[in-house]
Amino acid sequence: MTETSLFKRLSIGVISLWLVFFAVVPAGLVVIVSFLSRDPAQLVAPVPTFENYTRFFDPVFYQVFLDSLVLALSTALACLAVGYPFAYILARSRRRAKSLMLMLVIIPFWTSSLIRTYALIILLKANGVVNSLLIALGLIDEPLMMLYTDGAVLIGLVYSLLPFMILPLYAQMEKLDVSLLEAASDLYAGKVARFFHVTLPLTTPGIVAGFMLTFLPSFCMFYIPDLLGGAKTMLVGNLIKNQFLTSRDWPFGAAASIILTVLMVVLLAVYRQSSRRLEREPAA
Amino acid sequence: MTGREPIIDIRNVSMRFDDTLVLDDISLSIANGEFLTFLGPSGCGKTTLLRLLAGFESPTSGDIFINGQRMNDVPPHRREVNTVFQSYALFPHMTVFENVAFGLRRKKLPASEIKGRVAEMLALVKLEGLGGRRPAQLSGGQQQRVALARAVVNRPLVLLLDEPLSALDFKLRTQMQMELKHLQRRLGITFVFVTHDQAEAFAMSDRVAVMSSGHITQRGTPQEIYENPQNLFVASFVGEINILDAVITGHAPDHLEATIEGRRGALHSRRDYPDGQRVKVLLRPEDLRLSRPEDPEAAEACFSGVIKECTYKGATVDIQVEIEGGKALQATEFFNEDSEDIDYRPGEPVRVSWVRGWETVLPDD
Repeated sequence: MTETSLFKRLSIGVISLWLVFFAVVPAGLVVIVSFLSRDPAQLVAPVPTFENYTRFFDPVFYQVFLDSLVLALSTALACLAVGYPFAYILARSRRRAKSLMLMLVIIPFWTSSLIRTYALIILLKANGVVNSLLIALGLIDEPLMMLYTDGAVLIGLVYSLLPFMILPLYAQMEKLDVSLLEAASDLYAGKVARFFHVTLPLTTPGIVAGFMLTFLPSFCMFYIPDLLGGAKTMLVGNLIKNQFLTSRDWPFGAAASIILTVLMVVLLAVYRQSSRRLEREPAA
Repeated sequence: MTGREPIIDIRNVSMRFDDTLVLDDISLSIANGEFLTFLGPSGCGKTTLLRLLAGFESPTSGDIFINGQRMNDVPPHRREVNTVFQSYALFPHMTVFENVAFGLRRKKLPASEIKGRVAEMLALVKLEGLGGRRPAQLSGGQQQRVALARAVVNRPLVLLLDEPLSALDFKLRTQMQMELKHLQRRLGITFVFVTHDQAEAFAMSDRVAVMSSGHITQRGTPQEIYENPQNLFVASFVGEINILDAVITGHAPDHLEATIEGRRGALHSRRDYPDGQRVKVLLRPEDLRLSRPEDPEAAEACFSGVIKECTYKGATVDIQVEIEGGKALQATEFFNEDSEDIDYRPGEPVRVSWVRGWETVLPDD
């Protein structure tokens, strides 16, 4: 009894200490730094200011946020468009095909996503695999400009984040009781009506979870726009990275991080609210 | 069931999953307005047969006709039959009202008519005022009624019920059995019910089809099946029964002479058996009569035995008797005003007889 309570206290204590030192304290430091001034020599000067936040009302940064938002939304929607049918087929496959497909989803995790992004460059560049293939097939005469475009960034983000859409969707579809689908058919619902009245509403929690898991990270994956977009489009993630590593403007970078964090907290709150409403209120 | 046209005609239907033959050449007609029950142990194919009628499966061979139309390739949503599922399969994201309205909405009925019919249906199953609830907010019995309402509101030609009462407790189950039976009489809809519970099947059905390993082994009214089982499977599946070994030894004008469990006795059978034929004698516990050795009727008793155990059941007493030769028999005695004394004690010697002609004789195979 005392032994287990000691173990409990010890493990909770260690985790709490870890969180305090590596999450709470750094986050607090970021908040503090975001209200301080820039000092080229010592990174941060202890002079309080709101300037780091007011700078965001500059249309340039406003545009950065808007671009990031559009890209993140496109990424999440593209992941949904590809992931939903995949998860649907996955959930309805026989056991052996299922484990094979799940492996294919999970295997990329074994390699660093940075390395996989470099691999995409090899595919997409002017004399890369895709262009060579298309020229060899006689479909095009000159290589297509694929790398260093917004399209390349989107492909990279979708490729990296797709598993985070597929897995929650798959989990939700596995839970879907087959007898509910049979009941819908029994009650005169054809395939289309059955999908919209039963399958879709009952997998919505998976869609929302997958959306969150792809939408939020695509804001911050700075290396993918850097490598595949040629650092042409400035996104929030790149902006923050540049403030810390290139411009050496820590307070401004900190302020940008705080704004992004607040945005995510708001989105998560909206998600919780909507998932609760989904449970309570009648759909359709 | 004569004089009524069949609403369902199952002709030589077989069903094979991978290498297993689940249904083997089933043929059956179900009359319009009939309450028919498929009764059998799990794995006998009764649920598969129901799913064939609903359209969730297609028969490997044979044909299914509903209302004179061949249905083999008609998908479930184009069939005028509805199912009450064992798990109820209520849509969790919809209210009770929306669940019940689902079929009518798919049929594109006007909203006002849907509203009226759903309200009427909810009243019929005693769920007035619960239309706004979610299934998760209802008790098991209420969910069962929603499942029933959701199917019946569409006024199907045939209602299919797949062990719909198995999740309810005993009291609620018996109550629902009566309600289902009354509902069926009132609506005049054909009910096809599936259960493994013999008492449930007998309580509700006009006709019962007993199934075992993909065959219909016997069909008939509950009474026919209980009193004249055609084989040992049916006999032992529907209720308690005592099975005695016997050999035919001779023929008398109105009965057969036989050696039953080593004792000489008389058997009454509709079928004739040759001398020397080994047979099984089937006796329901309530057909056995116990008497004390000094009682006058003890003289014509076939067996003598010893009381092993008495179990008081309220209106009846279940008594286990070990007869000479070691076989244990189950007897049920009813309390009644005249025969005051059925208070047997374990170890007491008794005589065992049965009501003449109530035994069933089957060939021993």
